[in-house]
Amino acid sequence: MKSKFFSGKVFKVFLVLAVFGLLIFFNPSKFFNPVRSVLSGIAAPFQKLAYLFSFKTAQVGDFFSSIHRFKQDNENLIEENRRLLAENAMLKDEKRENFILREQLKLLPRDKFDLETAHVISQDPYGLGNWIEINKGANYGIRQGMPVIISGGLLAGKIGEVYSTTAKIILMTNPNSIINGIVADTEVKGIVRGEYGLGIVFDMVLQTDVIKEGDEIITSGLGENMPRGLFIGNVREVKPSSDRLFQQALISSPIKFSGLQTVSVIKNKGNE
Amino acid sequence: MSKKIIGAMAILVSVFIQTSVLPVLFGGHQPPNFILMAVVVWTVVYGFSAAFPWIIFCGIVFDLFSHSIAGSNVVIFVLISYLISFLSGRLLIESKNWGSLVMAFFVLISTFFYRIMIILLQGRVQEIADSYAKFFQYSAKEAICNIVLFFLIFFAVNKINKYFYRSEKIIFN
Repeated sequence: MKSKFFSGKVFKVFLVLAVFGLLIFFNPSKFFNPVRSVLSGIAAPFQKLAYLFSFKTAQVGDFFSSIHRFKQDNENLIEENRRLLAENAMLKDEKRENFILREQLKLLPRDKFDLETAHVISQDPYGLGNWIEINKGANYGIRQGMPVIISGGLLAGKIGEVYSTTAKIILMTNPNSIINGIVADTEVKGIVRGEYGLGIVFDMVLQTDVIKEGDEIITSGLGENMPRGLFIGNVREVKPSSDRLFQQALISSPIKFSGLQTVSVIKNKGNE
Repeated sequence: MSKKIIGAMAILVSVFIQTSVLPVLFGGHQPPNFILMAVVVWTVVYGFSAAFPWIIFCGIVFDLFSHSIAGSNVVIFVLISYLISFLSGRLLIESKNWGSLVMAFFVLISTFFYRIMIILLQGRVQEIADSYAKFFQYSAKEAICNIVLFFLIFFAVNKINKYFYRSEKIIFN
């Protein structure tokens, strides 16, 4: 009777719930991170192959729905547009800096960034757009909190967890992502945070500040690793916050986070 | 020993598909849940007891590669597997006419159950509270894709059993 109970389905389920329930409750991430690090290091080359293969497959689908010549031109134009958006935001910021004689240390030229380029090997499997994983980690000098950009100056997110050969990037659409931002033209301050992996919100803007559709949002430079002037996106819609104490702006980012192949990690802000 | 290696490789490939293939192919939209459908198929084809250790291993590996809280997917997969095993013993799953509908029903409830459990374990309850319509919309889209994926995996597993192992359930027994 006893052995029948212990070999029964209910007992097995109960045992698993008890053991793994305790694991979830205590969440010993320090214990599992070295295991993740080893597994990620072994699996990274295979994940990169799978990622590249699926990326090419997705592009094949696009190919049949558009004329290849126009598609290539379109991609080039999109890339150039991203670069110009970032450059434009930086130039506006530099113009303002020169006008009010701001301290040089608050302006960090992009060409002085120490960048580490990496390939994306996996994404958030829950379809939430919360994170991506790259094939470079602590062995390449990458540390937690370092900003991640594409196309020279578009902010994609920042480094969340670092392993020896891989790193996890917390995207701007992640609800745990919080970055200090400003409006490029008017220096209106706010907090840029992610919204359930789907969008970006410019929050905690004072009611007395003026913010309008089309305004460019850039990083303010406040915070340990985040340089000033990295382009985040354009204001799409302005509305009051849920508590009516502040204003909120929905931001439209030029980055298609699910389509990222390579990113650059800023290892050094370049002003030291 | 080779059966265990094949099983482990199948689980690793499933995890790679879920983390490095499907999110790219579905371009930011809700991808189907390949791992969950694999668990459901294993339970339907091999039974809860035979699939049990592999479901635990699958959950652990997926937790590690998906950067989830360790143990979260194990708990969810085991609960779903037990639920399906419990219901399949009581519903006409062998019936040609109703079997497919019953299995589609299993996929539906497992999809919704998985999404709710993951949201609860990740502390994202606000996501549902803010928009019930969006939650059901995304869940329904995922469920439809999962139903298609389920039958693909189901037929693939049955074909492997039939042609390569000559009706013996070698991989998990």
